[in-house]
Amino acid sequence: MTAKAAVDSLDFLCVGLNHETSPLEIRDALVMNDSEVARAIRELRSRAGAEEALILSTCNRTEVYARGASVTDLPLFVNDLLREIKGMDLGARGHRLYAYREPDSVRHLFRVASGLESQVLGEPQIAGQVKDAIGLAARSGGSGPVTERLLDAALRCAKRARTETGIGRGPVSSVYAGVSLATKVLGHLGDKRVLLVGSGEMAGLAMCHFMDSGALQFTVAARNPVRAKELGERAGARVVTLEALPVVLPGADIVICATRAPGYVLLEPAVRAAMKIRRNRPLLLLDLAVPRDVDPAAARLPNVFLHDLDALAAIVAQSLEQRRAEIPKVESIVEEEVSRFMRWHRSLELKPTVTAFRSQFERIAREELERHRGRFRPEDQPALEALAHGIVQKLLHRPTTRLNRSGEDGGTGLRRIDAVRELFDIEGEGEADEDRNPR
Amino acid sequence: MRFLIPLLTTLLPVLYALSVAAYARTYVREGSAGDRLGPICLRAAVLVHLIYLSARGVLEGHLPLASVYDFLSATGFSMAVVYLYVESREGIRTTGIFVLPLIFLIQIVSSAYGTGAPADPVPLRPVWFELHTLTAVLGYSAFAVSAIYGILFLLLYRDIKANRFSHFFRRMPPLEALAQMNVRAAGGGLALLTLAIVLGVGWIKRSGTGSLTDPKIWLTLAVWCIFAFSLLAYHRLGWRGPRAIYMSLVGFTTLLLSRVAVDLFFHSFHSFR
Repeated sequence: MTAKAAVDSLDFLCVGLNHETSPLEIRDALVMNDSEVARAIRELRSRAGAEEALILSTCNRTEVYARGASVTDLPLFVNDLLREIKGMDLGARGHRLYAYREPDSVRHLFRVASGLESQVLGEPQIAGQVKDAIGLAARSGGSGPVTERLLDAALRCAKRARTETGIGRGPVSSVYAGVSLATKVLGHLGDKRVLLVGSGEMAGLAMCHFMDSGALQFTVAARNPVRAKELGERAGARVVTLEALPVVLPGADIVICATRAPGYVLLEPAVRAAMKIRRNRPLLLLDLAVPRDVDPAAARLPNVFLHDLDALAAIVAQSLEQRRAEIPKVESIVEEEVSRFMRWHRSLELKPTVTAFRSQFERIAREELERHRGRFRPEDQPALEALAHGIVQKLLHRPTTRLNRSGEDGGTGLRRIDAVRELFDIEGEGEADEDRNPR
Repeated sequence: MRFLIPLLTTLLPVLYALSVAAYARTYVREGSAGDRLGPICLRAAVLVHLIYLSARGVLEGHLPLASVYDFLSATGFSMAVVYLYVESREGIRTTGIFVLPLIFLIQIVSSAYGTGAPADPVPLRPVWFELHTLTAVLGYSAFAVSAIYGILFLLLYRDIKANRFSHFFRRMPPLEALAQMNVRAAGGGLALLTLAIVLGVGWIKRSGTGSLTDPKIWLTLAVWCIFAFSLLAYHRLGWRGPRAIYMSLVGFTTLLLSRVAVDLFFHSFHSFR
C-alpha cells in the first residue's frame, strides 16, 4: 500500500478484547511482556503488511492497533498471532475480538487513554500504559508519523479529561478512601505516624497507599512475626507484637486495623487511655477488618475518628457516582480530539499540500512585485514578473519533485508532507499545531 | 476627592457581592479549588475599600471611625484583609463563601445607613488614639474570622464523626487546617487586642480623658482573659478539637454581647451613639 493511498484513508484498525468482552482467565492468559509485544509488532509489519503498529497489553485489555495492514481480515490475523505467541486459541473457545476502523478506532484509543474504558472509571494509570505502549512500538519499529501523532492526541485527550473534568476525582477503593479520610482529618501525612495492626494483604495494601500519599513513619503490630517483619521492611517500619499495642497506640496518629481476629483487637478503654497520653490530639482509626477489629464504643471519644469498611464504601460509591456524572464531558473532549486528529490526517493529502506550497511562494513573489512596482518603469514590469516567476519556479522545482514522490515513500513521505505543512505554515481545515506535544 | 466618596460607597457592596458570587462558584463546583476569580474580585474590593477609607481619612483628618456605620465598614475591611491573609497562607479558597457574605452584609448596612462622613467635626485626635482604634478593629475582625473557622470546624467534625460525606465534607480543608486557622486568627486577634488595650490605657493616662472604670474596658478585659485562656488551654493543657473551639466561640460571643451591652445599657465614654 502506498502512502498516497494511506492518506486518502487512514486505514487504522483496532482489534482486541477487554474486561467487558472477556473473562479474567482469558485476559490473564493474553497479557504480553515487552519481548512478546515486540515480536507481535514485527509479525504485524512483516506478515500483515502494517505500516505502523502498536499493542496495548494490560491486565484489563489486549489491543492491537495497526495502520495500512494489507491482510483482508485483521481480526483473524490477530487471533492467529495470539495463538502463536500466547498459545490461546480464542476462535476455538468461541470468543470474538472486537474491531474498529477509523474514526472509531481513534475514538476508542482516546476513550481508553481518558479512562472511560477502564474497569475503574477514570483511573489514571492507563494514560501511562498508552504512553509505554507507543514507546515500545517505537523501539520495535512499529511507530510512524500517524502513531506518534496519535500518542500526542491521546495523551492530550487524557490530560484534558483529568484537568477539565472530574473523571479522576475522589477515591475509588476502600483503602484509598481511608487515605483520603486521613488527609481530610489530619492534613498532610508527611509527619504523621501510622500504626498497622495486622500483616495480611489488606495491611500491605494500606501501607502502600499511605506511603504513596507521603506517610513516612510506620509501625507494624501483628501476631505473625515473620509476615510482620516482611511487611515492616517495605517501609523501614518498627515491628512489635500485638501485646505491645497499648504501648505504641498513643504515639500513632492513624491506626489501620486489618487482622483476621474473631473479636475486637482494640477496645475502648485502650483508646481512651491512649487519648489521655496523646493529650487529645486527633486519632484516626481505620477498621478494614471483617469482623471488625475496633470496639465501636471508641467512636464516642472526643477527637477519635473511627471508620469501618461500610463508611469507606460510602465514600467510594459517592466518588464513582460523581465520576459517572462526568462521562458526557469527557466524551465531548474525546469527540473534539477525534475531529482534530482526523482534520490533521486529511491535511496530509499530497495534492492539496503541493498546490498550497507552490501558491504560497507565488503569492509572496506577487506581493513583493506589487510592493516595489513604483520603483520600476511600466515597460519593465513584464520582464520583472517573468524574472520573479522564474526564480520561484527554480526554487520550487526540487522540493516539488521530492514532495511529489512522498506518495511512494511510506512513513517518510508522510513525515515530509507534515514537515512541509509545518515549516511553511500550511493550514488545513482549521488544523492548528499550538499544542502538538503534550508529552 | 469628596466626589469619590458616594461613588465608592456604592461600589463597595457591589464588589463584595461579586466576590461572594465568585467564592460561591468555587465552593459549588467540584475541583474548582484553584479558581482565581474569587481572590481577584476580593483583592479589587479590598483595594477600593482602602482607597475609600484613605479618602475619608484625608478629608476628615483622622481615621474614619466616628459612627457605628464607620466602625462596621472598617470591620468589614479588616475582616477581608485577615481572610485574604489566611487564604494566601493556607492556600485554601473554599472557605471564602462562609466569610464573605458577612463582610458583604456589614458593608451594605454601612453603605446604606452611613452618611459617608461624620455629622459633627471631630477634634484632632492623637496618633495613640488612632492606633488604639485601628488595632481594636483589626483584633475584633481577627476574632470574627476565627469564630467562622471555629464553626466550620465543628460542622466538619460532626459530619466526619457521623460518617456523613456530603459536598460540605468534600469542599472543606482538613479538620486540622480549620483548627489551625481558628487558633492562628484568635492568636492574632489577641495580640492586636492587647496592643489596643495598652494604647487605650496609655491614651487615658496621658490625656486624662475617660476613665479606667469604664464598663467597656472591663468587658474587653474579660474577653481578653477568655481568649488568653483558650489559647493557653490549646497550647499547654492539650485542649483539642471541639472543646478548644467552644472556648474561643465563648470568647467571641462575649465580645459581641459586650459591645451590644455597652452601646445599649451602659454609659461609656467610647460607645458609638
